Amino acid sequence: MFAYVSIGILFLFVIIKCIQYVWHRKKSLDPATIDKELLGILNTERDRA
Amino acid sequence: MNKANSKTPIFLKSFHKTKYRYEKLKVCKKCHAFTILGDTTCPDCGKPHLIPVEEQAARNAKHSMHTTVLIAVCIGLLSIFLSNTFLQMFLCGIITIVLLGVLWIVQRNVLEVESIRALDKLFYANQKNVQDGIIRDYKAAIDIWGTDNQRCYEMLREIGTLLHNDMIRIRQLTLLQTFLLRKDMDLELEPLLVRKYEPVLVEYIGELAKIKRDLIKDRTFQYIMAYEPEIMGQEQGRDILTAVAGAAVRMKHYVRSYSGLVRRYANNLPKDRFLRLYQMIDQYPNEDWGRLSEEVMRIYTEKYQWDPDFQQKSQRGHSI
Repeated sequence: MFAYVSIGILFLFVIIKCIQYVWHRKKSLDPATIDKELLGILNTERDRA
Repeated sequence: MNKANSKTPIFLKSFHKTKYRYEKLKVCKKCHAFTILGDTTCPDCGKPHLIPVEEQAARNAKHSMHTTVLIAVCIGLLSIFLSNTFLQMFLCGIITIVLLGVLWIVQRNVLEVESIRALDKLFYANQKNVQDGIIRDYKAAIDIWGTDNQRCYEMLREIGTLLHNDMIRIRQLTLLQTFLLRKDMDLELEPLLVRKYEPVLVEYIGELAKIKRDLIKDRTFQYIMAYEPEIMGQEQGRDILTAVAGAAVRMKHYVRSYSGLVRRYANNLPKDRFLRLYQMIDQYPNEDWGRLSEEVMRIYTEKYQWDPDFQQKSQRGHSI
């Protein structure tokens, strides 16, 4: 009985992880956005002035 | 002493431009310090553990994936351990292997996307470290100011890709003015444009207008036009403005967009630049050149009417 529960948990875990990966892929980040964010971190308005 | 003679001849390292600016950043595997200058040795801990940030992000993504696989393996083993019969054990083992296979295939397909996500996380979690790293690099560059100006400039040029402020730009320009600039050098202009009038920038533009006209683009013309009265008051200001007007003659778009600037200094243009301007206006008589075409015609009549180079054009029967 416990073995089936465990395998059920494993099944859910793998399915959730796969959905999460696919979701990340669908909502993939654009490297240009990361670039812009990094510049934002390094160059605040005060620094630019 | 002549100003040009006081300049140092140097060989600048070529500047490697990357598609994304973060590609210039490296991180230490041990102390997690960020730098834009180091090759392999960390400037913070001194150990040869520097790697590109993308590589670190890919490592983080893989690490996260391995943790997921490890959790799945543990749950699978638990199910086998908790089985009452051999059949149950066999079934749990098979299902675990199949699920791990599915997980592995999906992970392999999304590794690139997860690496980009991990890179975003890396920067977000290490904002302070990144800032500290760049400031440390900047201090390292300033430390060699005056002793090794070439290296100092190369360092500031790298730092300038990520740190955008006028202070760094002016320091770069000041160093550039101590070098004997040549056409074959890997120079830049637009990233060095500052917000305010800066004589050292104007001098640099003047030099580039002579040796590397192709670097002078819209933003530079706009800068020159915005500060034209101040430049006129500068030493050799008129020569610089004339050289910039000569650079505008390079393309029809620039002549049309900055026709006022070209018109004001057309009279001082060297013959080759004026000939090009004359030919351009001659070639496109229906363009709206404003008062520029009248001025070009006036200079032509006054200076070059009998010049054989211009005569060849006139014989073709065109008029401006």
